[in-house]
Amino acid sequence: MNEESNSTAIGHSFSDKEPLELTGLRRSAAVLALHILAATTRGTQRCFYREDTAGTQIIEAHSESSTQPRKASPELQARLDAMLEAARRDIIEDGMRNAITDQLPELFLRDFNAIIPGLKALIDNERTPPIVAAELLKELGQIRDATSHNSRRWLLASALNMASPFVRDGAALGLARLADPAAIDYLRSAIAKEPNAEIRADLQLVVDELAEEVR
Amino acid sequence: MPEWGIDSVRFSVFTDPNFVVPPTLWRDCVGDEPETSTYQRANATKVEVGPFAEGRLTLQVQPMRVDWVHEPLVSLGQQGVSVLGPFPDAADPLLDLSRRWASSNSFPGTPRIALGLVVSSSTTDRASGYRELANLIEGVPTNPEASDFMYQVNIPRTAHVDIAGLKVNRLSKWGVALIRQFVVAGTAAPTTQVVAPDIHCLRLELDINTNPDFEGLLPRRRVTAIIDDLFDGAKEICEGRINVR
Repeated sequence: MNEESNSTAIGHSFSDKEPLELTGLRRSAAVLALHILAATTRGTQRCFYREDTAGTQIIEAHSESSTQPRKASPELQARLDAMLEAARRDIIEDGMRNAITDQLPELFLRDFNAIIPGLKALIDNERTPPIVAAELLKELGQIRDATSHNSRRWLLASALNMASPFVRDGAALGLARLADPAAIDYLRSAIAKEPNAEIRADLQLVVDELAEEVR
Repeated sequence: MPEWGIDSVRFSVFTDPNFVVPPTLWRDCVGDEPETSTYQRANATKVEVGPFAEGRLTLQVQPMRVDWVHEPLVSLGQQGVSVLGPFPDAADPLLDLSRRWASSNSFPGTPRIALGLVVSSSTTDRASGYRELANLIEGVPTNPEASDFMYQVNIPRTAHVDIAGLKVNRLSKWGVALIRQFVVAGTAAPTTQVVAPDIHCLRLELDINTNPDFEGLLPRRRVTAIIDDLFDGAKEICEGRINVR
């Protein structure tokens, strides 16, 4: 909502209307816009900004009780793309720092609700090298942040269903690092359908570790 | 209390990681095909849109969640605020759809659901809007030059549906809004033309949802009762039955 209309932050527009041709106006193109602006004389200045106001973003990013769907800002999306691009060039090895270990925690913590769809798309995308997707998943398990915990568990558990064995293994490692016994059921159902014996054994190891934590 | 009209209603369902959304979800819930269907590869999001109960329905399926949003149609030069109708009755079409879906086999296992409503009530101007708001919430500025005021608060409560650990967040965001309709014309040197008088209104955004830290999935048979409980939470605020100060 464009309530903070005196803000200079990039703001969200209420206009999501389809372009509409107005033949009577003899103009090349016209767009009908219905905007809800703050009750201020300067509201019209911000009619065409596209993204959420900084104020709104801060409130919603830190409001655990909000379920408003969120969209990654262009800056966040660009940084996510840049991280992926850098990771493609990195040599990814266990225990070594790379673009993902360096950048993902900060990006994720800035606005995890907005970044989840983009991350899921990256992990699902066949053009993402499996070793990069696996590294993303391992790093997601490593982040220490209670607010985003359930979302990270969701991403990791859903990746147990991926076609690439690399990615499934990365998800298992991520869940081991997350150390959340609530993931045991997802791991058990993944074991039941896992075709690769090596990964099945890894998954079982994670289940055993997590079960140990419950005892 | 103001006479609220409903600007939009949203039903959100956070899905289990193993849930695969059936491609026929729209048809299953609405009964016909959507007008448009798009898939945004960059964020793994499918959006379907079509007419629904004299308004427009949007189904958005993205990782972790499914959202249904019911909004009014907006026409050029229209006078007054575009609303689905008066609160609470105008929420019925989407609530009915939500209950039907929740009772069907295509409903996902879910740890969390939410109802979002935006309601508004016409007022004369910004100053009178602030005076009306001052009867409802705390901290409204009295300086006649004040603008950009916004008030947000969550008043959680235990769910009325008897499920251990289940709570209901009642998040509300209050303000005064100006609605202005205008046409933007031309491509090289665009000009704007206001096509209807400005409208001021009290605006209240409600986000009534179950607690994110609920462990496990909501019992499938109780989801319709939880939807009703969430809507009760919205009514508690809109009808002034709880103190949001």
